[in-house]
Amino acid sequence: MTGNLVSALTPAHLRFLEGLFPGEGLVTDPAAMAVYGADSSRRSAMPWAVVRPKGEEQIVELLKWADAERVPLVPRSRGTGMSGGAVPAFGGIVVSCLWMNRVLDVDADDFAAEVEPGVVTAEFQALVQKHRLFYPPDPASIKMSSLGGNVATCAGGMRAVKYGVTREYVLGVRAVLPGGRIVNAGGRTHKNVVGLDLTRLFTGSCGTLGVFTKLTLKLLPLPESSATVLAAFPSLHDCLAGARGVFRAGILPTAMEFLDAKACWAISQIREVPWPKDTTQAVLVLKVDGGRETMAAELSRLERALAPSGPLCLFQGLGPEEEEPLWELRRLVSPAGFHLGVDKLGEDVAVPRGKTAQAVDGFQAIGREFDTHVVCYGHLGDGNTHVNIFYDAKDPDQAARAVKCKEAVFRLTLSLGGTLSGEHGTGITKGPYVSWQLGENERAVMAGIKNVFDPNGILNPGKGWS
Amino acid sequence: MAECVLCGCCLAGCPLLAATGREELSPRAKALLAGPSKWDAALLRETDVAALTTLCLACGRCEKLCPQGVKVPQLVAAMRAAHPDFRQWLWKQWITRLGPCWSLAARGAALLPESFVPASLGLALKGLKGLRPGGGLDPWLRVTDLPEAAFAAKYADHEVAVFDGCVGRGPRASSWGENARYLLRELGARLIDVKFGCCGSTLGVAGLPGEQRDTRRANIDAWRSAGRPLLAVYCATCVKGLSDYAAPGTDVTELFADAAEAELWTRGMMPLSALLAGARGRVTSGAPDVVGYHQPCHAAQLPGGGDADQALLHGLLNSRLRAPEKSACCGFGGILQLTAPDLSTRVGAACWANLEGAPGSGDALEAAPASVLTGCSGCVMQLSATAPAGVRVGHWLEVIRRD
Repeated sequence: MTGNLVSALTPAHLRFLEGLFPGEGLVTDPAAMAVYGADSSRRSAMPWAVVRPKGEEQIVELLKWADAERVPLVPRSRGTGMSGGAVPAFGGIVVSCLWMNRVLDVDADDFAAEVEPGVVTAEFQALVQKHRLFYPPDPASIKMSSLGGNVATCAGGMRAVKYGVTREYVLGVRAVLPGGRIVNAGGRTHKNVVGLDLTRLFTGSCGTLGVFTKLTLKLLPLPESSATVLAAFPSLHDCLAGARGVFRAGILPTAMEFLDAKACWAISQIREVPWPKDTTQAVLVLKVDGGRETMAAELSRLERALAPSGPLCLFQGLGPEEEEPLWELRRLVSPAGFHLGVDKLGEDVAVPRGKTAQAVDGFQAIGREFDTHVVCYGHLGDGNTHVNIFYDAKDPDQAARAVKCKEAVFRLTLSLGGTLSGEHGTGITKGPYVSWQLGENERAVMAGIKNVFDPNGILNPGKGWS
Repeated sequence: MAECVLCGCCLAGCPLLAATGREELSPRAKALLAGPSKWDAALLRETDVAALTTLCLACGRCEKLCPQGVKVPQLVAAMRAAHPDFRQWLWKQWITRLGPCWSLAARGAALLPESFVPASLGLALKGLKGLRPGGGLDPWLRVTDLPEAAFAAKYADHEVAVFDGCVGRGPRASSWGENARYLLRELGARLIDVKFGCCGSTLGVAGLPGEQRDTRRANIDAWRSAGRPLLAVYCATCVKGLSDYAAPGTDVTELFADAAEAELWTRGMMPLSALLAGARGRVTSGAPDVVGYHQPCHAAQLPGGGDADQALLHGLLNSRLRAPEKSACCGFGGILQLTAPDLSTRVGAACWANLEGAPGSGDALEAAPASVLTGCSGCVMQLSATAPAGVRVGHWLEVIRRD
């Protein structure tokens, strides 16, 4: 796969890069490059060099040169991915998009915005809110990740149950392909069926097809208000029954998240928690949004829908200020888990929604079978469950059990008709397992598509489907 | 200390990353380099790592965001302490010799021909010039109501000493200490005079733990011999520096007689603005049309949470006070102004852009006579040095009128 690529940069290569990226635009000091070789997957590899383009012209020149010279490139913005997608594990130059961070246009009549890839997602959300507009995708990393990274990974988030994931909000992608070809996929209209859907192809492609220079995003009218309920349950099954009750009452929540017993415990290690610590086995957090006058009524509806499943306690928040502390607890679960073990395999499998209870029961049983901490939490509303396996890599026995655990989780997921990754992408941590899910024909079609975009395989090598 | 898990939560708060877009300056990069190395030692030269890691504002914003409890400013201070070089030596000169008489240094700085000033010290000197005598704001705010009853109910039995730190005693800043004492007397406090030195926070940041310990001990001795009075502190960074004497997780017996004495120190150390909470005032003639507020990174907190200085000023100035929705670091950064003045300037520029975007201020900050008030001596120095033409910066105590 990487056979025809160079294995290191020559002095001539570096001279070219110095010319194209003057001053601070090029980084070659290993101490400064180190962070560009790592991401939130905690995998790392030293880049050969880091470049910081300020605009599309530089990217066009870079991709012409890299394609001709067979130099691998790894696009990156904020490095908060969970599967090592931005880690140059197979060598190459890291292309940092942080200097391309302008919001080019927000149009309240078109319900569309144009941005460069380095814009921080939460800052973009705050900006469009001033125009009473709404950009719904909200990955847990929203405060520190970027729109470019979100599109490259088709980031999910907690609001997916009602609003869908990032791909539903990408109307167009402008990207530079190897050789310097500029491709404009999609556009500014909310409907568009002319030609193949290249926009969807770019979304979630993990920097393997092109380097984004502009994204056109879809916006919605901003809901007037929202409300949140957090309920604790004495068992996971009561919690799932509560979730079913909500849907049966005809409520489509904006977000519906659950935390299992170990997740609740881990959060209690870093924050004061409102639920009873001794009896709580699962927590459900729900959000609804809509008109200001209706929110109090919606809260009562939610409370009535949850009552038959017997919550131990129930907390309500009306409006962002009251809601935020409840959601902050949920967002902390990923880092909090490290109190169970210093190393983590973070999986994000998804199963058909009706199979969630069976899947979570199974994942917890797998943890017991291998005597390993398995923490389950996530997006109950859409069947996407985070399964975090904690261990100590210094203990070879623990490390081996953790890998067995992960593989058992994958097997169970696939047997239930699920997928190995709902939102993190396969990157390097799940790359080797893709063939468990995708057949030979599917992988051959994908390889053919990759070949059309990037015939020499210079873009993010090793992050694929083979 | 806890280990960084590379989650990136800190990225949202770092003013250096925001101003430069250079990920190698982020807290995550520092934690990655300072932690157990993932790379071959031969690849990373220790001096390069030290030089890069010490480019930090020590604002502490990342620390508040970190779910693992990683304290990057402490990592940086340790790195600085382990690699003493010219810059540390230089800073030691500044804060241990000039520090206790900043104003004198400011006077000297004003007289120094620009051509004699090494480029790397330009901003620091400009900051010092900002503190020169006569450079302060004119008083235009009369305090009409003070929370005397609330103060008496809580502190009637206590003596109160004002902590001036290193900036508060010079010619410009003399109004800070004098006005602090005036307000406390009006409040009904029984004031006693205690001579304190620098709070020591910058010494720690600069990687001078020995000097920091000495100055802390001297302050505690002075406090002890004065009968352990309440401390009223008017510089936000001093509040942080003084509370660090007995911060959770530190061995308090190193500085204090016992845990009870440390507790007395922590409970008796109050931001001046918290003691004045609820005060009301009236603007007199000469007040600027626009008054901006700059929130320091180490803003002193009210007991129930919230910036004590901002709350006080809001009560005194109502809608005249304009504060940005989100605070931004001024870029002073302990010693970054000396070690990397270009980075410090860029963070400063982002801070001014943020202040100018404050709700209601429009672009009026430069058009009308404008003042920016803050509650930290480091921020006053940095903002004075970087202010747009026509904007004057000062500690809020400067605008208080004494009758």
